[in-house]
Amino acid sequence: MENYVLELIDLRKTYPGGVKALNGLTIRVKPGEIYGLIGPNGAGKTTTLKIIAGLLKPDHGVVRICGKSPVKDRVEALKNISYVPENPLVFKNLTVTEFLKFVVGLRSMKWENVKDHVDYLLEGFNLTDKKNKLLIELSRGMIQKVLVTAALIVKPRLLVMDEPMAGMDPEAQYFFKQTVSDLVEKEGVTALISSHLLDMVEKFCTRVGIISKGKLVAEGRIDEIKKMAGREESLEKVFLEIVRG
Amino acid sequence: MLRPRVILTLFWYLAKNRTINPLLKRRSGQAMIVLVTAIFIINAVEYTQNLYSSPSLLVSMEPFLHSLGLNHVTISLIISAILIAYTIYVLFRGKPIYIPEEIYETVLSQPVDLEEYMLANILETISGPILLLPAFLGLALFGLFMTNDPLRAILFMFGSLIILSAVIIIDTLFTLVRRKTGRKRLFIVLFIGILVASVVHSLVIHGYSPILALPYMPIAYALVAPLATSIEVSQATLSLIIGYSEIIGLALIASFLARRIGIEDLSPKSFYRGKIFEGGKAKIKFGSPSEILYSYLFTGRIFNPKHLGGLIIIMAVSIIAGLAASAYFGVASQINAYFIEFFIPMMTGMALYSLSAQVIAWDLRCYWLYRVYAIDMAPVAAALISRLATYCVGAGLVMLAGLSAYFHDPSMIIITAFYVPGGVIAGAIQLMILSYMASKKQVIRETPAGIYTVEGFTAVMLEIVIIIIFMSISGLAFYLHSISVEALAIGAVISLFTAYPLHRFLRRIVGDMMTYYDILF
Ligand SMILES: Nc1ncnc2c1ncn2[C@@H]1O[C@H](COP(=O)(O)OP(=O)(O)O)[C@@H](O)[C@H]1O
Ligand SMILES: [Mg+2]
Repeated sequence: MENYVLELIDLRKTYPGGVKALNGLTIRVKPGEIYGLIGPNGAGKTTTLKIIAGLLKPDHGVVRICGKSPVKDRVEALKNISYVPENPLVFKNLTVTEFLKFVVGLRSMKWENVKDHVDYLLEGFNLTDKKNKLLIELSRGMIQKVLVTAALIVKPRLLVMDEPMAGMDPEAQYFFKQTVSDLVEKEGVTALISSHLLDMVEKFCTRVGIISKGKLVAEGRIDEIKKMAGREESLEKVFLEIVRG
Repeated sequence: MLRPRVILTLFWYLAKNRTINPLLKRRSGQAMIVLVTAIFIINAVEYTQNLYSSPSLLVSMEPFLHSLGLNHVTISLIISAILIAYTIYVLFRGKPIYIPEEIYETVLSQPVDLEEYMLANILETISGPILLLPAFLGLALFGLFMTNDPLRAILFMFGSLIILSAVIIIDTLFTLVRRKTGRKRLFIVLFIGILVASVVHSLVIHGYSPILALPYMPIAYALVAPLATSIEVSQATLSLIIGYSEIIGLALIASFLARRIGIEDLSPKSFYRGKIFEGGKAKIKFGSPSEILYSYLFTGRIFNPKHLGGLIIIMAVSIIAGLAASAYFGVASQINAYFIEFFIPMMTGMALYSLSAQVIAWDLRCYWLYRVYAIDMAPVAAALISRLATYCVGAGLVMLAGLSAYFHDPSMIIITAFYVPGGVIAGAIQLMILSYMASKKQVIRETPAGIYTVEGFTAVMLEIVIIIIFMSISGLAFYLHSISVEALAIGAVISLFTAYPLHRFLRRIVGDMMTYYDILF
């Protein structure tokens, strides 16, 4: 059981309006994986990640992050993750540096210990000159990069990111993939990344799960999934086939 | 296991985001501080040089207030009663505890206990107004205006902040009570009991029942005492301290209840996503784009059965209140000039101020749509000016209906006509400032206190401008009224005839401004 960084077992969630967002979802993520959760819009990706991040309570099922439940043992469970939300909304009136210091402070870490890493990431994301700007003055894509930076500097056991590359330019996407791969290889970080874009997942994730209507419909290494469809085709075609049933 | 360091970190950055940085790091905030401080100092200097030889406004108003049976104690009782009513409202409403969306996603996904967040939030809410002190010198200015005494003015400023803290803490506390204790019925019964008992007792003794004082008198008194000339400054200071002690007490109870909070009690509040055209039923209409926009934004919005019904009810309440007041206290023999010239514009200004936030929220929210589809913004400007003017006229009508009932003088209703051009001017000014503001910073999101600080100040400044406009217009109207009803009627007709050309002229200007400035989202 302790072999998994993340265990989601038979999750169900119905929103107050009656939408069944999750319908018996089970996913297990092992240390050192970059797990891509892919699926069409409305499949339940964001709902899943919000449950992991302790922002929603599942109606049914088990969530364990390094063995801890974010429902029962919130602080201990969330210490192991950092979460990048789908919509880049942040405190508007904090500067980039203040926001990063805030996040670091909440984790009882020392700013001096992460400062070099912060500088490296901001440089890589082309944000060095924005360090002391208020977040309200940044564009949506820049805010996305700040949120990703905040998630990376704390070097969590599990990175949970909801469509993190959505607003990034190609250069930043490249830097992002490089940095996450590095963290996974060298720092013992594991990642769970959702996306509706397939090509980004293809060369980046070590394993993917395809989610549709709140259920996992296929899971495996990319070549395995392709084999499941019986052909060596692009992931995109396989994806469409699986999702359409 | 609470971690004080985490709570303090949370508190510090919440406060920085909401109050400290907007004031210190943003130019509009800095300008606001300089402006308000300068005005306050100039006035205080004038005072020390004994330029205030005439009695203060408050002293001149006193006889009139007394004729209504109002003094510092009864006013405190009324404020206390309003807080009781607000408590009952919160208990019945029982909504989840709202958190601005950006805080929800970025903070609650951190390894932070919900109780720690709640404590930091409570701390920030009750201290937030104090951090804002420099900006609230505007309130001190009002106090100075009323009392001619800088010391009292400063005390009044603290007193006003206490009410702000009180409303927020009552909201937090009783939302928690409702959701997290099994005793919500007990509290509802208790507060309704207090209210009913005090109303019955008041009717029996023909005055304000002391029962009204029950839970909230220390807070209410802290607000009123600094303005009461019969109370020593030292005593007013003491009452302020007692009032703040009550706030802290309520905060402690709220902190205790916050222990039981779960993620499902908290709900992210997003103001700007969701349906763009909410509330309106889709109707197919044919016509020019400007006609459709005008009817969508003005006629269709305003002249519907719900609004007219509401207006009739409020007017009826106002008239009944006026008649009841005159039956109780007797018809005032003479119209009190201060009351008329100060109070009515104040109230109308207040009404506009609270509506301005909604106008920003609901109309400017789909601004981009107009910008895309309406090449000329003049129809949008025209509709919004008409709408704001209608609000002014509506507010004036309600006030005047009550007043004419109180003075048994139906001719006062005619004064409403003066509010038509007044409303057009005020509405146009408001829109100019708002569209300018919206081009300078991202569109306003709602916070627990209403709107963001800087927007709040701008709105206060705006209100002052509007109050001045309405004071002059009311002054003119009541002057004519004091001459004769005929003079008033002629003035009213002239007002109505100037309103239209004024509207045409101003909508061009406002429309050009709206086309010229971009709105940031
Ligand atoms: N707050 C909410 N209230 C009601 N329904 C929601 C809410 N959030 C998401 N949903 C619905 O739940 C389903 C799954 O949504 P989501 O998890 O956001 O999908 P994805 O991230 O894969 O696009 C969708 O049908 C969506 O409309
Ligand atoms: Mg999503």
